[in-house]
Amino acid sequence: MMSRPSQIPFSTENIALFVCLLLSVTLLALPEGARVLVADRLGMVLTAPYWNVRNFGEDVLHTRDENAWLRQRVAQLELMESSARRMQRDSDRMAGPALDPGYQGELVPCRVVMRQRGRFSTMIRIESLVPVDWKPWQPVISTGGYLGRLRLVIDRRTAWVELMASPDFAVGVEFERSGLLGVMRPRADRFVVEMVGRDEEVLVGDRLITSGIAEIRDEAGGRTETVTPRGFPVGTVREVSAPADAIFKSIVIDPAATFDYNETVFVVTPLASDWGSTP
Amino acid sequence: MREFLRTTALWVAVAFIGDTAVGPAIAIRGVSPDFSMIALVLLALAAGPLPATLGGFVLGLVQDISNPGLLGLNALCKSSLGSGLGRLRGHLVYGLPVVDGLVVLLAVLLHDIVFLLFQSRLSDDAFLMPLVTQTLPVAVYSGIIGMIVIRLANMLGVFAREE
Repeated sequence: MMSRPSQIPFSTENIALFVCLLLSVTLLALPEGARVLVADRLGMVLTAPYWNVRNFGEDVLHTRDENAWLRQRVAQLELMESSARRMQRDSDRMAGPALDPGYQGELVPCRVVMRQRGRFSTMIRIESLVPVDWKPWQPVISTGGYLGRLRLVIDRRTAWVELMASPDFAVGVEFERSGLLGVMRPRADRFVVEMVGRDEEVLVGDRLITSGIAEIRDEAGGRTETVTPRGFPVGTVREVSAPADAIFKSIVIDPAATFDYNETVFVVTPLASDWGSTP
Repeated sequence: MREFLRTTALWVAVAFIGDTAVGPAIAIRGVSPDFSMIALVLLALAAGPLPATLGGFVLGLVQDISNPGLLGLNALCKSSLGSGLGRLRGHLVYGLPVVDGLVVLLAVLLHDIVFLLFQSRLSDDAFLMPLVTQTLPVAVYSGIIGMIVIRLANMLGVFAREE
């Protein structure tokens, strides 16, 4: 094919040039409106397919990140709204203004990139969209509710999260309706709330939130005190009973967050640096 | 057929990928090489006047679509230039990067002079200002990048038959 140009007689080249020039001049000579119309029609044939494919590719690449930021915004607004409602409720039941209304911080959207289901812990590896100064024990939530906490920080973008389904996990919870406190733990294939007196009123369907009460841990570097802010949804009461031989109620809950389908999770970082204070 | 496909794929890739992706990435103070012109020179030197005339026409028409006010002007300039450059084939000293670069530089200058003459409707300001501030830097930059692209094309064997 490459040898063909030299075989084509000189006049063919001239004819081709003449036709091209004639077409170009004709297009230039068209009235303004007709030129726009012709350009539009030509564009639909010549360039639209390329731009459609390119735009689609870019959209696909950006959608996931965009979704993460939108989810972050929605989650933040929902938390702020529930915080305001909680403040109102606390005030209504005369619990006093000293109670923490809940969420005050920032949500960092992260992708779940790996899951590890071990005998002693169930962890997910997350990757932040932006570098972040995170610390162990900071809470991690999804749009559904409380999910777990940061356990191992690898770098400013990557960390391991211990899910609340881990056998060793415990978190302070509060019954949203009554303000009762308890401790949520996973037990085999279910989640239970312990330390709630047998005479307390707990109803099926009661919503549980994180209580915001400090957790103290003995670690290699000394005692560490961390706080999971009050108000992240933990679950809903599924079964309640008061065994005759026990001083505490037996409460089983359904977790608010799912552990199998979380694609975007949020690490709650504080506005003020009151994390991990070591007395 | 194989050579035709290879040449076509190469100049189309240089024109489209160059103008849409590489150009903005290597722009210096808003000046990026004219990859469509580099592609046209490549096609003309590799395949001769007829493919270069038709290729220049299509290339110009695609560029004109985004500027319907002057629909046909790019096609006019590029098809004429393609024809002229194609006729240069066989009359150049091959293997000298400076020659390739100079051909690209002159092609950009010539194209823009004709284009600006039409666009400016022979008004001094509308012709000289863009010529000095846009055309000259783009021509020089295109010449430099053109040297590299044509060298690479040569390594891929696009000009093998000509040599």
